Amino acid sequence: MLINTQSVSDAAWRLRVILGTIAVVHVVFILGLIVAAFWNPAFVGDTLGAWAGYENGERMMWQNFALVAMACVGLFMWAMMLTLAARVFGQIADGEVDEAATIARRLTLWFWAMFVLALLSPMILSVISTWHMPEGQKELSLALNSGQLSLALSALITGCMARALAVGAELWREHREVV
Amino acid sequence: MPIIVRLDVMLAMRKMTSRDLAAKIGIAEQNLSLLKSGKVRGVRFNTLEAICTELECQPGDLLEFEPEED
Repeated sequence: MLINTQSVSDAAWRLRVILGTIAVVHVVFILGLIVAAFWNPAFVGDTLGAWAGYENGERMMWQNFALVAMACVGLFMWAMMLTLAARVFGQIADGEVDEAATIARRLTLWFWAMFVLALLSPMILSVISTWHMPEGQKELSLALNSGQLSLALSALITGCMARALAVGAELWREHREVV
Repeated sequence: MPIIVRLDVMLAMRKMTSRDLAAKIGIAEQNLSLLKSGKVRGVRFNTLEAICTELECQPGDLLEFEPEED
């Protein structure tokens, strides 16, 4: 074998471990959030509302749980994306570049889904957070910021990476068929 | 496949096994078997050089071209 892939495999394995660990942390956060929501829904709702920029008064119970659900959906999607990214690097570490390309394509779709969620979140959060407010104070917000643009850019980069991995897998197969 | 590999013939003439040749030139026995059966996409020059050195032959002794009939 003329090409030494050990350094790539080692780096990919380290990334797999790091990304997988962060994914697990996200899952722990989700579980903690759900437990906290049932333990003290008003406090959790107020905290999430404040993070979203809506520190305004007594919310109804469904609002608090809706905010928790929104947060859990976002955390879940990040956990899925981190898990897929970890699997991409795991497959690269195992030399299964074809499989890595397939998973990277799925990761691209998740990035686009996250981008759509990021576009809709401000609107949904504003409606949920201000539903209890009197007429004239309810809000429906739209926002476009660097975070959403970063997600779109990440989706484009991941899609390109998936294609590059597929080409790399084809080249690797050809390389292995030359003695 | 128009390129015929005569490695098995040369191994028989030199009374050497595939395993011994693979060990001497530093490639996997499996790859040498694939080469013998012609089921490879190509051969590197350094592999060809190593085989010719061990078997004391020319590349033309190992490879033969038979054009496919249309």
